[in-house]
Amino acid sequence: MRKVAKPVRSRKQAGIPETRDGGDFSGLVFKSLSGLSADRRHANPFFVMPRSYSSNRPIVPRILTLAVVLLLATTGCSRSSRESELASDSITENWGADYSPRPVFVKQAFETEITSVLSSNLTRVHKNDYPSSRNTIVIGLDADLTSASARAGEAVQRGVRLALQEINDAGGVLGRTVELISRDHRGNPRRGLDNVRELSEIPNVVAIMGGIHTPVALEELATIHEREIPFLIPWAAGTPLVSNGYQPNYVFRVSVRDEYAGEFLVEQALKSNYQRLAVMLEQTGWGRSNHVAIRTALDSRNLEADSVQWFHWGDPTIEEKVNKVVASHADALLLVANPLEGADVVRSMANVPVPDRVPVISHWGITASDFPALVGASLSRVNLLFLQSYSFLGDRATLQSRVLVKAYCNTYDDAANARDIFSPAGTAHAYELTKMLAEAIEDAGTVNRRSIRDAFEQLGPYEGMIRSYERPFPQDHHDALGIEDLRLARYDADGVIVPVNIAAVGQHD
Amino acid sequence: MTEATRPKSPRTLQQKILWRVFPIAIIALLAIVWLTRNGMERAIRDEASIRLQQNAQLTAARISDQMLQLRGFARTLAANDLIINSVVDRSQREGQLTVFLRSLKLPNRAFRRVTMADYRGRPLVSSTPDSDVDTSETVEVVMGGKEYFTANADTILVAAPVLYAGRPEAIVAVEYDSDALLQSLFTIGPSEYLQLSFNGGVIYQSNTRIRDDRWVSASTALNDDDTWRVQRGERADVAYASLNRLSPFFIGVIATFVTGLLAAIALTSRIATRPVGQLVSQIRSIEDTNDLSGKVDVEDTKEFQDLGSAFNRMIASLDQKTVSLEQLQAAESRLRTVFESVSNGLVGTDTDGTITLVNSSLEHIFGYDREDLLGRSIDIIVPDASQRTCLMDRFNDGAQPVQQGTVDRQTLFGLRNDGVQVPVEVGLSLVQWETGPGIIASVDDISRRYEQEKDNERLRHETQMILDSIPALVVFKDTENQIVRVNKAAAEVIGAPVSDIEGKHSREFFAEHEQYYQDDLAVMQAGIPKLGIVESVTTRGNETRWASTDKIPIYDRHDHLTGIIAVINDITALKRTEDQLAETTRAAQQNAERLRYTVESARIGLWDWDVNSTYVRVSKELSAQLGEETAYESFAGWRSRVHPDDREETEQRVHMCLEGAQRDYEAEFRLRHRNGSYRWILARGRVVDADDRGPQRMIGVHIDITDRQEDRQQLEKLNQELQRSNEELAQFAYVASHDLQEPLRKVTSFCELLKEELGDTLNDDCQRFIHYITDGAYRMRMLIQDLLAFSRIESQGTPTESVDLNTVVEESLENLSASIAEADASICTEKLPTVQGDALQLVQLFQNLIGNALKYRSDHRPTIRLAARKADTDWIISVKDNGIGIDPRYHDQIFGVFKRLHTMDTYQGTGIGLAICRRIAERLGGSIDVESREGQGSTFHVRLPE
Repeated sequence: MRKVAKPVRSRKQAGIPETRDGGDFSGLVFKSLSGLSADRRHANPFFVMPRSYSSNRPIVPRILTLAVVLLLATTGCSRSSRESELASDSITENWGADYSPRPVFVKQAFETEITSVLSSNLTRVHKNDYPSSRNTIVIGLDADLTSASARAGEAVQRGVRLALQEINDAGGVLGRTVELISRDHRGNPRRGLDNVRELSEIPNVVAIMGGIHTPVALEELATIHEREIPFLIPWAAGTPLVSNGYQPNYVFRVSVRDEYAGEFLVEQALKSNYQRLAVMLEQTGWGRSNHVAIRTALDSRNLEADSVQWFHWGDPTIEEKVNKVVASHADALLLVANPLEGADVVRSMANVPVPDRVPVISHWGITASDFPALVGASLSRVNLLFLQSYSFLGDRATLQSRVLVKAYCNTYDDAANARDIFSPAGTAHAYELTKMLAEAIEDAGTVNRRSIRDAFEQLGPYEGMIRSYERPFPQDHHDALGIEDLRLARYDADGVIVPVNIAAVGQHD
Repeated sequence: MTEATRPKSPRTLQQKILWRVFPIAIIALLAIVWLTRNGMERAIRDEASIRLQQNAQLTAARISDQMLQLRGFARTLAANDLIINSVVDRSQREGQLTVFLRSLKLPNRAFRRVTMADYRGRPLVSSTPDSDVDTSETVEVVMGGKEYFTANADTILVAAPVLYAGRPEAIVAVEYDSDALLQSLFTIGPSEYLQLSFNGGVIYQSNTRIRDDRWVSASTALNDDDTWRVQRGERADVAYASLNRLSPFFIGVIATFVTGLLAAIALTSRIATRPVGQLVSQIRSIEDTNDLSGKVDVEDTKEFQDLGSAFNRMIASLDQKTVSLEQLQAAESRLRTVFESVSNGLVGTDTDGTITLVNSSLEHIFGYDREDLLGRSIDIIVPDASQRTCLMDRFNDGAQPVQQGTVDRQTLFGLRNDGVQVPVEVGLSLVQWETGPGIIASVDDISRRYEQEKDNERLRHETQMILDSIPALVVFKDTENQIVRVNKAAAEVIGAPVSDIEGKHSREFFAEHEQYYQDDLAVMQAGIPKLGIVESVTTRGNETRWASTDKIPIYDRHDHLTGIIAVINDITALKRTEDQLAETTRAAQQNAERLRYTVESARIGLWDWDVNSTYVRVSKELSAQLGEETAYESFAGWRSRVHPDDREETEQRVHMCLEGAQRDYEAEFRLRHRNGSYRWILARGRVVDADDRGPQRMIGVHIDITDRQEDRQQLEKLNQELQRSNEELAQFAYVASHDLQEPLRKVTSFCELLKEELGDTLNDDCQRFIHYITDGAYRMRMLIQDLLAFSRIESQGTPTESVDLNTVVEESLENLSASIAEADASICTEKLPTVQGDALQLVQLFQNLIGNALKYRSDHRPTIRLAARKADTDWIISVKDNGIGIDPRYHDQIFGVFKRLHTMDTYQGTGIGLAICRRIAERLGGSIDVESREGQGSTFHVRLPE
C-alpha cells in the first residue's frame, strides 16, 4: 500500500533555510513530497494525491477541507462526552480497532490534507529560538532533551506540538497562533534555572512546561513564583513540587504524584502477595519524596520495609546495594530510579541466581529512556513492572486518543501505530496540559500570566483525553490525576510499554 | 783564490736536518696542542650542558608526575558519586558535600582549596568560604569535557568536568599554592639555579640567581608541551672547573717534545755521515787507480751495504759492454746485397711518404736514379693522390694500425720518369726504422698481364652485347647445370641482375631445374640440338610463364662437351590470349542461353526502338501481353494504347531519356489489350546507341504487373481500415478507463465516509459488506489502471534512444525490491546488451516479467535468471524462473488482455501484465514467447532488435 507523502517536520530537516517570518510555505510541501524516502509506501493504485493537490492549491479550499476535518474531529469529541461510557465499553471489547486495516484512500486523502495544511503551522512551531512574531503566544519547554532522559523530553515535546497543531488549526487561542520554544536542561538544575529565567523574560511566554526530574523543578520553584509564571508539569512526580507552600501556587500538574505513587506501588505489591518489601531510592528530592510516600503507605498498614537502600546518580556501588536487598529476603523491590541507575539495578538483579532474584516494581522514571535497549538482554530475566498513568493501547483509549494517535503517526515518521509511541504517558500528559492551557487562556481572555494561573484554578468541568475532570486544579489541589488513574505496565517482547492486564492477552496489531 | 770569491761551503747533514725538520715539527706540535685543547674544552662544555639538560629533564619529569597526580586527584574527585549527585540534589550539595569538601585532608601541604562550580563556572560549594575560580577559559575547556590546568606565580589550578551520562554538567576545581607545591619538589644548591614558566609566565624561580652573567643554563619543555618550560643553570666557573687544569699540562708537553726532538736530530745525523765518508774514500781510491776490476766495501747498515754493491755491479757492467763494430758492418753489407738483388722494386718511406730507401729494381721500373728519389716524396712515382692516400691511410690509420710485417697487396698505376703510367702491384708492410715507424713497399711491374686482361674483358663485353640483342632468352649452362652465361632478356625473366645469375646453380632460379636438366642431359648425350620444346616455367616471383625452347649442345675447340645453350622464347602472352578467347566464347554462349530462358519464363516482353524510324521491334512475349502477334509496333500505335491518364507522364519520361536528362527510362502505366481491357505494365529501357546527332536506339522491356498492382491496392485499403479501427479502440480504452475512475473514486470515498461516520456502531456483517465494496472497487481500479497503462503504450514516446538493458533491469529490480525481499528471491543477471527502445517501457516489461516470476513462485525459494544471446540481428533476453510453470495449453492465451489462469484468491492481479509485455515488445519491433511446463518453471524470451 502506498502511503501518501507526509510533509517533513521542519524546514531544517527538509534542507530549507530557516526564515523567521514563517511566511510562504507553499513550496515546502512540494519539496518535501519530492524528497520523500520510500518507507511505508508501496505500490498503491489508490494514490490519490498528485503533487499539485497538496502544494499548489490555493489556501481557501485548503482551509475549507480543513474545516471538514475539524468538523469530523469535533463530532468525535462532542460525542465522546455524551457517549463516553458506551464508547469506552466498545473500545474495551475491541481496543485494537485502531489498528484495523488502515488503507482506504479517502482516509488517506484526509490525513494528507491534515498534514499538508498543518505543516505550515507545524514548521513554524518547530523553530526553537524565539517567537516568530510579536503576536504569537508562546509556551516554553524546559526539559531534558539530549541527556539520559531525553526520550521523556521528546515525548513531552511531541505531546505539546500535537496539541498545538489542533489548537492552531482551530484558529489558535484568542485568535493568535501558539508556538513552542524548547530549552534543554539535561537533568541539571542549574541549567533548568537558567532556562526558566530566560524563558520567563520572553514577553509572549505564557507558561513553562517542565519535563522529567523533580530535583530540577524543585530548584526552579522559587524563581517561578518570584516571576509569577505558570509552570506546567507533565512528568516530574515529586509531591513537594505541587504541595510547595507558595501562595498563590503557580504549579499545575497532569502527572503522577509521588504521594499516590507510593501508596499505589505498596498496594500493588501487597495485592501480588509480596509481603516483605525492600526499597531502593535515589538520594535526591524525588527519592525522598517517594520515601515519605512509601513509608506512609507502609505505616498505615503497620508494615516496615525490610531494607531501604539509597544510591546516588552515577553511583558505582549499585550492585552491592542490590545484593543487600537480596540478602534481606525481600519478596519484592520497590524502585525509585531514573533510567541509568534503574538499568544498573535491573542488570544487577538479573545477575542474581534465579531462586534469590527479587521482582522489581518500579516508579515510572525508568521509562524516560529506551529502557529495554539500555538494559539489554537482562530485561527478560527480571520480573519488572512499573507505574504508568496512561496508555494508548489500554482500555481507556478514547476516540480523542485515536485521533491523537493518527496525528502522531502522520507527523512522526518513526511511528506507524500506537505501539510506536514511546513514553506514551509523557506525550498524553503534555497534550492534555497544553489543551488545558489553551482553554485557560481563552477563559482568562488575556495572556496575563497571573490571570491565566487564576483561570487554571477555575477550569472545569473539563473533558480531557486522559479522563474527564470535574475541576482539574482546584485552588488547594493542583494535581489533576488521582491514584485511580495509576496502573501497572511492563515492557513486552518488542520493548513496547503495555498495561499488564492486556499484556497477558498477547500482541495485537 | 780570495775569500770573497770562494763558493760557500755546503751545509752539513746535521744543519740541514735541523733547518728542515725542526720548524715543521714545532709548527705541527703547536697545531696538535691547539686542536687538542679546543676539542677538550668543547667536550667539557658539552658535558656540562648535557648534565644541565638532563637535570632540566629530570626536573620536568618530576613536575610532570606531580601534575599528573594533581589531575588524577581532580578527576577522581569529579567522578565521585556524591559530587555527581550533588549537581542534582541541592540539599545534599548544601549539607553533606560542604562537609565532605572541608574535611578533605590532602597529603600535599600546598593544597589550598577545592571548589565545585556549576556548568557556567558559578561556584556552588567550596572548602573555604572565599572562592572565586571561574574564568571563561576554564569553563570553556572543562565544559568541553576536558580537564583544565593553569598555573601562575601564586596558584596552580586543576579543574575537571563532573560527567553525568557521559556529558559535563559541573566543574570541580582544586587550587594549590604554587611556591609551596614546587619548592617541595626540588633541592637547589648555592651554585645552581631553577626557573619554571607556564604559558610564558615565570611561576617559580630559585633565589640563587645572581646578576653576574657568567652562568651556563639549559631549558626543556615538559613532555613536548610548550606551556611548561623548565630552565636549569649552574655558575660557569663551577661547570667548567676542569678546563682550568688543562694549560699547565700542555706547557709541559711542549717543553718535553722540543728537548727530545733536538737530541734525535743530533743522533740521526751522526749515524748517516760516518759510512758515507767511508764510501767516498774507497771510490776515490778506484778513481785514482783507474782499475775497473776494483771493488768497494762498506760495513755498516744494510742501506749502505746495498749502495756499495750497486756501485760494484755498475763497474762490472761497464767492463763487459765493449763490443766490436766490425761484426755489425758485415751484417749490414749482407742485407744490402740481398736488398739490391731482388727482382721486385723495393722502396722505403717514413710515415710522411718521404722516400728513405730504394733498390736498383725500383730504379729500373720507374726509370729514376736512386739520388733522384731519396729524400723526395713518394708522389713522384705515385702521383695519383687518391691511390696514394688510400695506400698510406691503411697504414696511418691510428685506430687500426696494421701490424708490423703484414703485407697488403694493391694494384695501382705508377708514373715513370718519362711520364708513362705503369700498372704495378704493390705490397706494403709496416716496419720500425730507427727514426720511427715507416713503410716498405714491394713493387711488381704487371704491364703485360694488364694488357691481356683488357683484351679478354672487351671480348666478353662484345659477346654479351650480341646475346643481349637477341629477344629470346639465352641461357648457357655447363654440364653440371651451373649457369655460365645469360642474356639480358633471360635475366629480366628470371628477375635478377645478370651478374647475380652467372656462376650460380640453376636450382636457385628455376623450380623445375631438375626436369630441365634431364632434358639437357638427353640433348648433351645425343649430341643433337633439340628445337621447339614447349613447357611452363615458374619464375622466382612465382609466376607461371610459357616458353618454347631450343637446346643446343656446346663443345670446346678440343671437341669436349662444355655445356648446353638454351634459347627460350616467351610465348605466355600468346598462350593466354588463346585461353581467354576460348573462355569468352563459352561464357557468351551461356549468357545468351540464360537470358533467353529468363525472358521467356518471366514473361518479359522486349522492345528495340530505332529512334529515327517510327517502328519498334517487339518480342513475341510483348505482343502476347497485348493480345497481338506482330513482331513490329509503331510508336504512334503504342502511344494510342497507353491509358489517357498515364499518357502524358509516360511520354515525358521517354523524352527525358531521349534528351539525355536521364540515363534510364522507367515507367508504370496501363496499356490497352486487344480485347479492350487495360493491363498494368512496368516499362524499363535505356539508350544504347548515341552519336553527335543524339540518341539513335533504345532497348527495353515490358513487364505485366497487373496482378501485383491489384493486390497492392487491396492491401492499402485494408490497412487504412485497420488503422482507423485501432485508433478508435485506443481512444475508447483511454477515455473509458480514465472516466471510469471518477465514479469509482466516489464509491470508495463514500464507503470510507460511511465507515468513519458509523464507526463502531457497524455490526460485523456491515463491516464485511463495506470491506467487500472497497475491495471490489480496489480491484476494479487496478483493472482500469492497468488497462490505461496498456492503452498508453502506443501513444508514449518514440523508441529511438539507445537503452542499456542492465540499467533497465536494475531499475525494475529496485521497483520490486520489497517483493524480492518478501519472497527472499535470488536473482541472477548476466551482462545484458544495449538495444534501441524506450527505457520506461522496457522497465515496465521487465518489471512485469520479474514480478510474475516472484508472484507465481512454487514452494522453493524463487530463483530468477536473466540472460541474453544474439540471434541474427536481434537480441533474445530470457527471464527464467523456478515457479509453478504454465501448462503448454495456455501458452497462447496468457498474452491476451485480462487472461488469468488463477482465481483472485490464489494470486492477485488483473491479467494484463503479459499483454502489456507483448505490446511493448511488438511496439519495439520485437516479440515475446514463453517456454514452460506445469510445475517446472517458466522461461520468457523477449526478442528485441539490436
